[in-house]
Amino acid sequence: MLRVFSIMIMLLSSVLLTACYDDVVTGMHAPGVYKGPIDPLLSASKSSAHKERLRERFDMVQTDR
Amino acid sequence: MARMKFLCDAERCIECNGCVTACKNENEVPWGVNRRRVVTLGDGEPGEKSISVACMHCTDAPCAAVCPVDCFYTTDDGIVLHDKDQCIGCGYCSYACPFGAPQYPQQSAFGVRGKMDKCTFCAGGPEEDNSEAEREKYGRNRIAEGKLPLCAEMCSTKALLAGDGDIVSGIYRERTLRRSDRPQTWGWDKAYGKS
Repeated sequence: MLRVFSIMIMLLSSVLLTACYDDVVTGMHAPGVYKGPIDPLLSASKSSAHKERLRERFDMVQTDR
Repeated sequence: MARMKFLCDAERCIECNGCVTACKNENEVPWGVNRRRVVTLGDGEPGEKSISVACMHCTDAPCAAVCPVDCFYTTDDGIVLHDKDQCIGCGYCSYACPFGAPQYPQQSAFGVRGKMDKCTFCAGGPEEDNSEAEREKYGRNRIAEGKLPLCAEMCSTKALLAGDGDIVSGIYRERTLRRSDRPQTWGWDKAYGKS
């Protein structure tokens, strides 16, 4: 009786453990590589219009007068 | 490619701390953190010099080099930014930085560290530009609005400059050439050149 019971427990636990499986993507460490979200400013700052705007702003506010 | 740089003219800085106040107000900097500080050498003595110091947005940033979770990134124009969601608050960056730029807010008792906070050159973080999340975590994103850091823009003596490094260095070079040749004397001529 005890033997049957222990076999039942083992079978049940093996079935229950399968529910613990989770397909996760592991973030492996790569030195010096930023893995966060991409800043939208990175693409915006590439445009020459943006650079020109900052240059005009500098001339308007910070130059010696 | 232009690189964004700060430059503080020690001959012009009058230690008014306006830049510190402007930064705190504009970015709603957390309690216990000063992203910008004014350092005075020989305070109270004749010829004392003050400079305003914040993150210098280094080309080879030591904070980024030592970060174990690589939460730092650099924009095309050389602004060093970080992601507070990646930051684990270990403090390595604060030990590595020679300017004391990375700091930690006093969020709770027993010296628990929060996420690292530092000057962003008013360029926010990786969140959507000028979103509520970005504003809450990093402060205002003036660069996305086509403006430059407020600390420099409101400096009354134009001691603190922030912008394209080539233009900033050009202005400083011009000032140096215009200045009088009495380096021990502070005065109008020394700071603003002979008229």
